[in-house]
Amino acid sequence: MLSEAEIETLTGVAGLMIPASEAHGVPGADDSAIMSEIIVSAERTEDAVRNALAAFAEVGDSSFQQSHPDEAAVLQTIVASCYYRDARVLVSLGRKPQPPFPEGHEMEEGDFSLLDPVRARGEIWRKVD
Amino acid sequence: MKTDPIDVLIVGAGASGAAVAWSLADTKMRIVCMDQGGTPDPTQFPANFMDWEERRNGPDHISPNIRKAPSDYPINDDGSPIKVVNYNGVGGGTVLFAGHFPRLHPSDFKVKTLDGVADDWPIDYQTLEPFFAINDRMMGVSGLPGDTAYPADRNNQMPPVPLGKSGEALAKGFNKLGWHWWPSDVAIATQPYDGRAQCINLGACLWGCAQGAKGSTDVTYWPHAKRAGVELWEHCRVSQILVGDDGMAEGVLYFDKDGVEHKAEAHVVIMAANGVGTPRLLLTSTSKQFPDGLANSSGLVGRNLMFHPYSFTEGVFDYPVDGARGPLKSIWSHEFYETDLDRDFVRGYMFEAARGRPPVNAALAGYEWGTLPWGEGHHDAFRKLNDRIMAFCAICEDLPELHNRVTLDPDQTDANGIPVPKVDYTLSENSKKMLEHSAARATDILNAAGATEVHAGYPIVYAGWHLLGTAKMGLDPETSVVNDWGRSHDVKNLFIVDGSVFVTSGGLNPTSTIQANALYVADQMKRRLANLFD
Ligand SMILES: Cc1cc2nc3c(=O)[nH]c(=O)nc-3n(C[C@H](O)[C@H](O)[C@H](O)COP(=O)(O)OP(=O)(O)OC[C@H]3O[C@@H](n4cnc5c(N)ncnc54)[C@H](O)[C@@H]3O)c2cc1C
Ligand code: SF4
Repeated sequence: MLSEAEIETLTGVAGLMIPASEAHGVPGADDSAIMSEIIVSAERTEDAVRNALAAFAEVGDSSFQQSHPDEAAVLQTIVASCYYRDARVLVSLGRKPQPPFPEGHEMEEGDFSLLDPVRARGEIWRKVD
Repeated sequence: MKTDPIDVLIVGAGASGAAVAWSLADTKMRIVCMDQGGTPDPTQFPANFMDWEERRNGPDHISPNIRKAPSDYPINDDGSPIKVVNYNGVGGGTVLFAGHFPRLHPSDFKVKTLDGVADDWPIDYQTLEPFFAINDRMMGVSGLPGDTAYPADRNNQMPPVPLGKSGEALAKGFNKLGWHWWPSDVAIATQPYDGRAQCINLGACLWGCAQGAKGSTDVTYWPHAKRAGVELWEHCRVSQILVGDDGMAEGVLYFDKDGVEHKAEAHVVIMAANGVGTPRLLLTSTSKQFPDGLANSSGLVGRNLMFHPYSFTEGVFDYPVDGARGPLKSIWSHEFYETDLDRDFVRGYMFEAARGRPPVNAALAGYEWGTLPWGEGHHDAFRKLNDRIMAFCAICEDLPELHNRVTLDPDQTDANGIPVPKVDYTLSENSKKMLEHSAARATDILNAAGATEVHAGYPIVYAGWHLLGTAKMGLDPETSVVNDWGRSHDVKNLFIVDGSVFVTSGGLNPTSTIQANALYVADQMKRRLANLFD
């Protein structure tokens, strides 16, 4: 389990990484509902997270992304994984707040007449005999 | 459980094990197929859950070393820049596969004759042609007949998967450059087919198809094989193939779900445990007669491992494309498939379009590329990536090299105490040049398609999905493990039907050819039943 102090640092990092935006109508990653998912995820790879949080504590700002890319990647993966599945965030991106199944997605079939030049060029396979 | 003797015992219920079991079922022999895993439950595939993207990085990872399910065995791949990925259960790798379904080209069977490298296969495209057709019908293949990169003998069961915005943009890019492209053949049902529902473009093919549209063998071959009487023994992990004093295979030792060891006797053993699992078991099966492992008088068991190094190139567009919607594959290109003496490498590669990234993955790409900042600018920058990334990979032909191999780890064992496979593999100079070439050409295509940014990388690390060459097929027992119809040179009632038997890898996804070969071997066995062991 992460300590209270670690959770506090993690919340600070999440908010610094992805702050709330009025313009886009989205919460920050430090939103309490999103944070509770982030904590569950973080505790799955607790050692790596603890390590990254300790490194962040030494830097204390977003320059951490450049100065400690590996540790930043650990935190970015967890924060982004939980943030970009939040219903409010998905809706702001024009997506339905649901998993892919069972509704699936509509797709354009596409224009198969684009194959005309390929057909016009003729066979390209290498003959063996 | 029946107690009468097993006629044919198949190890592995994946792509090839399912095909060979189904084909042999009409002999009415007693056929048992054992797999160390169970039948996958589609309600548990990641696409059912809001956190589907995160599951793919943990309990549903494509690497058994990260996934660590009870049906998995660890693989020591520290000695390889490409890591093995697989699925251990009914359906095998097809549970996770993208369903991309090209056939090897006629030229792939003759690389020594044509290009002076590696070896020719002892069989050719024409030998497999009828079995490609049967396999396509069983797996249900969507596509568009008439591809100019193939002989005109291919028929598809269903219309192609949607090009989508990404496929169309790429097609325009190819046309600008005057290069070949064609809608991919995919083992995905675009219409209801053989009891399967049609694809609804979930975009999660690599983590199991919750819709059941993808042609994984748990939903294609297996229902038919079981109905025809084949017994599927799930959660049975084979540890050793047993041989008698006469040097013939007698059956196997296996562990059940509770870790209890059993012996199963059989008249014929067929290996379908894939290019890593099969050599592993042949190597654990040492005996007085076979001190170096079974079927290994040539010393080639485990050698010549071929993976297909992949390059991966992504373009960012200034308008929304497909994101991750749709079947992963839409179009392929065989423009650079054959040897061209003007290039500094032999053989070639196939391109396959790979749609784009869902939101979490798009954010992670932005972080990796340094285009997604922390703080204020995050949201605007993210919206420039969301649904605007298009991906493209090249499958490079891997030539067989003796030093690329599967051995047994001297120290590590799996949950049942069976030594785990150890993979040692290096990228050849030829592969490195091919990867570089493919990434440069992919960049050209993405630029021609209108990308505003292009990011190329290679090799993809978790891309050891094609496991080939480790029990080579050939006519000479000194330079091959099985003969031209899959029978071991050394043990006359032992057959191998999985990707291990590939002589060369081609530069494309192998499963269509693996299964066609498995059906061909089954057909040969049926034709020779009276004198199978002569
Ligand atoms: C993520 C991913 C994407 C892919 N995409 C494509 C694609 O688009 N197109 C394509 O052509 N190919 C693709 N592949 C590869 C494809 O899945 C394989 O080529 C194919 O499944 C290999 O068939 P096989 O019969 O050789 O082995 P597998 O299908 O791997 O089957 C082997 C089976 O043997 C079982 N087994 C192994 N050892 C034992 C043992 N000791 N006891 C009992 N059972 C055992 C395993 O559990 C497994 O079920 C992909 C693979 C992956 C993982
Ligand atoms: S895109 Fe189609 S094949 Fe792929 S997972 Fe979705 S429904 Fe299945």
